[in-house]
Amino acid sequence: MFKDFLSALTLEILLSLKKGDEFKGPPVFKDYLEKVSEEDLLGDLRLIFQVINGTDLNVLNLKNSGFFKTTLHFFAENFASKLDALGGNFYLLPYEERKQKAEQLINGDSHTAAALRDILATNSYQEITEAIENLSKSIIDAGTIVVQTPRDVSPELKKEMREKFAAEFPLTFPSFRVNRQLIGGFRAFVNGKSHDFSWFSQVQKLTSLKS
Amino acid sequence: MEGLAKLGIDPFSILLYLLNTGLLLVVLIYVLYKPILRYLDERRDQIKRSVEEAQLLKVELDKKSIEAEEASKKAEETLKREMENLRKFTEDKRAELTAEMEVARNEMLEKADADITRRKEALLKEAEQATLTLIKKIVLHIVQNKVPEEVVEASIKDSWKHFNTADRRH
Repeated sequence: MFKDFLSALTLEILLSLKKGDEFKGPPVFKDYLEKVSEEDLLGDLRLIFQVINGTDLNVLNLKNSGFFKTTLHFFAENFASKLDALGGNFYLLPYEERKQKAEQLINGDSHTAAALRDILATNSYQEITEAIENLSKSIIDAGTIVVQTPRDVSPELKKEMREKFAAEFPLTFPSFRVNRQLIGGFRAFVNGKSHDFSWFSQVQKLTSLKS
Repeated sequence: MEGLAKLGIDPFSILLYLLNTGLLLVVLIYVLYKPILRYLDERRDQIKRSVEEAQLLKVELDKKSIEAEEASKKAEETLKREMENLRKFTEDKRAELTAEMEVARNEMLEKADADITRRKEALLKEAEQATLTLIKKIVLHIVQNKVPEEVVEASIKDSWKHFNTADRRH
């Protein structure tokens, strides 16, 4: 999923380096380019090309790569807020409507923006979150955070939740799932530990009480 | 003599009569009287012996009677004793059997009571489980279908606050 995005981003980087134009990609990568050394940049570019050529992320050593950490930072924070703004119904829409909404959400004529819009228009929420989780595991050995709610929650609350989890587990990517069986409240699985505040579990507890 | 003759009595005849009478007496004594006396003596002796035998027999009978009475008394006492022993034995056996029956009855009652208690508990448990399942279904049906959206959304926010509070405590 990230191949097109990485290709577009690499192209943006190389064009900006070659022509000296202003970098058109996401601001976090601009910061990265300003700080990275030539040697590290070459190392990162080597890794990028390996990923683009189909090498599995888990095989590569991405833990020391500033580029991939920046990529993860981008997806776990900037892109995640875009995802949260879309809501659950977005992924049920036809391709054209999804593309249109993605263009409204991510504007700009850069290759990177186009690649991100393509990611949103052609992948399901589950595919996107799994890909980001996989990236997170490859780079920082991050755990899995899944938040289940009975209804799709507002982008504001999702943002609040992300910020809370990010404070405790930096660069992790919490995924939000709708589980109508919960009825009310929510349930979170944080690195294998369950935090169940759902009404369903409360009903279960109530009915399991004995005199 | 002459006077006897004048009276018509002949002394010879008288003598003859006397001789006859004497002879008759001798004959009677030796032929009749003595055997009769002898018979009578024998008869008296026989009777006497019979009386004595009877007396002996009576004494013997009395003795036998006393012995028989004593034996009868002894037998009666033995019988009484045996009867008493038998009665006592029967009474003991009856008491023993009654005690055994009581123990068996108590055991059966305890088993029946335990069985009834177990069955009652199982039934109560089943009923409790069925009631809980029903309550769960009803509650879940109500909360799944009757709770307004805004309430659900508010519950998520409240739970999130609760999670944050609980999390900070840890």
